[in-house]
Amino acid sequence: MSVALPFIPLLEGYSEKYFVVRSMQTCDDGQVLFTNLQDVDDNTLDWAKVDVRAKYSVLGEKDCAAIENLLIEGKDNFIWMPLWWSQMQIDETFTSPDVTVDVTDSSILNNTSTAHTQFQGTEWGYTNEPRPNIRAMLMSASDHYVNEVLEISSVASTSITLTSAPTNTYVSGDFITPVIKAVLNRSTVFRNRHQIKCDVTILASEL
Amino acid sequence: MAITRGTYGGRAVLLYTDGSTSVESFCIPLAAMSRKIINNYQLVGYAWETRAHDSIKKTQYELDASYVLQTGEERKVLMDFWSDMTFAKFYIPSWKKDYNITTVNSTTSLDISRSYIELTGVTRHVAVFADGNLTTAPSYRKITSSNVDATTDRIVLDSAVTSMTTSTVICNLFLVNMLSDDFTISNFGKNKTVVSLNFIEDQRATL
Repeated sequence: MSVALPFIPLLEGYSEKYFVVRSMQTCDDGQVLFTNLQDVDDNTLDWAKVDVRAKYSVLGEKDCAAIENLLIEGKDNFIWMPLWWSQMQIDETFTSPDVTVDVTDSSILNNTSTAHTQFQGTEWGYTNEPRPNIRAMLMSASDHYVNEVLEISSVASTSITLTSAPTNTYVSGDFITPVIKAVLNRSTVFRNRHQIKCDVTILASEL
Repeated sequence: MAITRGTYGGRAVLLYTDGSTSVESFCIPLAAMSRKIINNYQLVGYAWETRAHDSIKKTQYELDASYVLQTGEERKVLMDFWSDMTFAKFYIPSWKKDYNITTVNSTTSLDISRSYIELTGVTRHVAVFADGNLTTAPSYRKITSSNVDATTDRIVLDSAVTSMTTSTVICNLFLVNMLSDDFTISNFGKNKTVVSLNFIEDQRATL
């Protein structure tokens, strides 16, 4: 199963942490040395990795059951985790066989151009390194169960071309968000309240 | 106009302008920068160590700053900076009035309040906000000499800055490395995010 986590997190407590792996040593004479720990042949560390912390508050039996099963999948296998700071909106009716979707500002963080998001085709948003761990999630604004994860072919300033056509039909105002392939680690907390309300705190770490 | 990164002495400065004379507000830290003087050296060296204690000033500043980002473009600009500077040194203003001018002697010579300034063995660069307004792009200068007497310290800049008055704000300009490998974008408020960065001065490399 290859699924995204299509629930919208609470604004409070949401953060994206980008980090590189290196060591720092201070020599006797005060010179500070930074050593890149990544192996030349190890492409997985050629770019900054991402951790996403997010809180969800979910109401209703259906949503509670869905998010619980998605958390299990995210722990046992992996899940496509949206980067909400880079969220944009679809700016047209987007349906098969079209593969190029027009996007616009999401108003979350004024992403006036795809260059300001993590969308850069098969490249990473700010280092332009190849980055296979990133895809695009399309999601209906009115029904978050209408969503799918598609590969990105190329990116222009206000449109994104995917490698295949969508299964569903999306309209203006629906979401398009970059997603990273992530696992949910141990600090993920799930609390079920009376069967109908779940509070979830997760830390999703990029694979 | 485009957001433009500052440069001084062949290095980047963590200070952005609009391409003209206005400083972009996102690069001015939230509240004051935290600064810490560190000196992690043994009091007495071992016999086999050949450290030139007199010629190397070992005290370093450790600086912490938070930046509030309100648009996707600002986020990308700061993330690009972090990515570019992972292994590079750059300058950062202290955003603090480090020198209190009492008399402007000339376009290069300034008397400052007694502050026990001690520049022997220490190279200091400064960002001069001549009109005292932090939103007007500063001039970057090097302090070439200092003179200390009983009541007044005098500093001399390496080249002229016009229109200096006693209201002029002079900040130290520290040559630093990124101290943290993290770039965490957290929620700060509606349509606002906050990023905290840590820097460590490299006094020895400050020429």
